[in-house]
Amino acid sequence: MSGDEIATLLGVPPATVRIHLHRARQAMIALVAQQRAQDER
Amino acid sequence: MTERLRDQVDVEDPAVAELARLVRAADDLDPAPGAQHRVRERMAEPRQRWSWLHRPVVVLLVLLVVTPVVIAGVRTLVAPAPRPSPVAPVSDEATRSASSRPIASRRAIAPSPEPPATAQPIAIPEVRVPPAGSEAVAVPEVRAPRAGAAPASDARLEIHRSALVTAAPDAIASPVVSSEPAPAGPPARTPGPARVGGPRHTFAPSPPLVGGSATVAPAHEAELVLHALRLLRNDRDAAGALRELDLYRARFPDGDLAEEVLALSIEAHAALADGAARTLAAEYLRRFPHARFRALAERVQRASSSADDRPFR
Repeated sequence: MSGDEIATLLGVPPATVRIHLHRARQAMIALVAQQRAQDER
Repeated sequence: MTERLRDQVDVEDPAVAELARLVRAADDLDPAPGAQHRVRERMAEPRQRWSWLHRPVVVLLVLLVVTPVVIAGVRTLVAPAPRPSPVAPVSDEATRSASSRPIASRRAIAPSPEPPATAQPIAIPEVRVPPAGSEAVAVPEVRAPRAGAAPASDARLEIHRSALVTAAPDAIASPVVSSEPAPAGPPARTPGPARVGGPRHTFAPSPPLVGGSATVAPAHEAELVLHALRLLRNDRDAAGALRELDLYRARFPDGDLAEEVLALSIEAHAALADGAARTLAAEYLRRFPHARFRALAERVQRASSSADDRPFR
């Protein structure tokens, strides 16, 4: 599903969808990095 | 356009690479049968007609516009219709008596809707005529209405206060000679020789109610004090000013200008080289310890003390 489709479905602007996806991706990357750091120890 | 995470293969950040690997390892999203169709249908639907009303900003604006209109409408409905004011016939006698009355009294009488035939007779201010040969000024026994004082009266009070503050009393420079110690009781007014024969002033705004030699004092306390101030500062008539100030104290024992009257009394007694100035100064310092004319009172006290300390010749 594209960002525009999600925006239409949720009734929010497409930019809002994109910023939410970006933040979610950053959060996921941070979680993975944290997990990797714990594994290396 | 942001590249999808699963498509990022050659990335330097190991965390991103790990995440991309995890995403790629996951199975493709297999939506339930019909779910994607429902999504497509929902997207194809036209947007709701009144959906913009759900936005908070729009709701707030509508409330801001509608609320005053509703309140105004309710007030219009609730407020009673203005009734026609009853017009009472006024006889010539009533008109004449009202015109010769002070403004405050007229204001109090004017809105009375009762006809003059049934209205209570209005007490004409009683005029106390002094005995023959007396110096006192006739005083109408009318107390100025304090609660009904108009804003113009307040403005006069302020003007008078500022005049008191700005004008420097130069009469204090002369030392006060006191022949007896200051009494502890209320200040005793000893009429000095200078109080006799001072110029008589009639106050312009208040027309005389009685003919002959009697003069009607101003009705408002500010006018009375202003009169005394003019006598003291302009005409150098301390005795006349003291007379006016005594009049004020008699008519307005709890007047708003009590502090100013006391200060003027100190100044007038000091100008007459009267020992009562010291007593009044002590009274002023006792009643108004942090007031504006404290310096005046202290100066008078110092002057009288130095006069007392002089060796008797």
